[in-house]
Amino acid sequence: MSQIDEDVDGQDSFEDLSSESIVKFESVAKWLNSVGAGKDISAMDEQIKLIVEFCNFVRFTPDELILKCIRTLKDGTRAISTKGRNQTEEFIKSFVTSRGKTGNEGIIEENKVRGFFVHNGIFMQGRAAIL
Amino acid sequence: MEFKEAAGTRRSIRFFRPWQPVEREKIQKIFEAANRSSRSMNADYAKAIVVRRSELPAETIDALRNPTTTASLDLAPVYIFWYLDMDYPNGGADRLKELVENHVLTPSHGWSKAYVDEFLWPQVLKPIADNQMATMFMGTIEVGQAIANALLAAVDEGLGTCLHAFTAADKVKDMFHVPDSWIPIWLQLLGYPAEEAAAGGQRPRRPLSANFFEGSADKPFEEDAEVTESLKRDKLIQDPGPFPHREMEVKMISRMFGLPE
Repeated sequence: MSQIDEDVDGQDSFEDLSSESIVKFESVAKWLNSVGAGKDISAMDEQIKLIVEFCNFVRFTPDELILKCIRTLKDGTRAISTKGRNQTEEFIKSFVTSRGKTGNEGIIEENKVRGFFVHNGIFMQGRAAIL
Repeated sequence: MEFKEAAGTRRSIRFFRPWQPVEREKIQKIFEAANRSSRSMNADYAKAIVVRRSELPAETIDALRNPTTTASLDLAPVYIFWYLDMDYPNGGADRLKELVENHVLTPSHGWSKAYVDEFLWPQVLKPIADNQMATMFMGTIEVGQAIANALLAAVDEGLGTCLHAFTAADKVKDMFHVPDSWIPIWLQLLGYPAEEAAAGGQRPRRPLSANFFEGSADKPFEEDAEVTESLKRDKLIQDPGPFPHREMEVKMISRMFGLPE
């Protein structure tokens, strides 16, 4: 169970993901292709593992997390959800904090998670790590 | 730097050296360039506040952050907040008469103090001043001209610069005592580039014939190849991006600052 179970609407039916199962999700494939590692997943092992742990922490699948950042307008077009993106930011910060990462180490890890969202079209920026 | 090279070298720079401060004299030059911009009525449309990140409390910088403008605030050592002063029409008649006195606006072109006092101000400019939409329309164009000068002056001084959406306007208003008549236009970030000045090469632009016309709107302006070549020599036209090493450059800089790759 994650530390934010009581704060977020995680799915009770959520089953922990693994590095093998997560790559089957559309948003993960999109991320890997965009980042240029679509042909060599092994080069992304560390980042994939991080997203697996993030998903397991917040108890949402990667596709669900992306969907939470998107809202559909009345005319059917899609827009980035400010509410969803803000919630995602909270997810990311809680996740990194739970791993004991602070300072620049925390910023770097937060940005690694943000990369997954960025490559799925969710515009977001984290802080820069400056000594 | 010659004008053509400055205009050709200008890019939106997004990676700055946070450790290298910008000399105050360079900021003065940038402001002076902005102050020399073309403007109707010789009015003061543009207002700007320069602040240095190193002098701002962390909580002030944090207040400016949002999900879309965060890394940039950490990297740029200087922020310039640009505003349109909606009070710019005030004193317009006096400024125009000053130009008449200085033989700038001359009888040869129909100008006189009487025209300003009796016709131009009451019939043209006052109605515009009383129309908020018209005031804003005119004003944003003129502030844009000032900012364009400021951007080129920054490039001329060897700096990188980029315009950002002006967020957290209410917080900025309180923090920097901004008058009620000032409307936020752009946040200009400024600093020495952490990426090469060419920033991966000149940005793609459509040919002149796509946007400029001669004689009528259905007759595209045709370029003279010799002129085009001379503009390449003068560096107004530069090597197009992306340079072969650009992807790696961005990756390495992102890694240096711990940003998403």
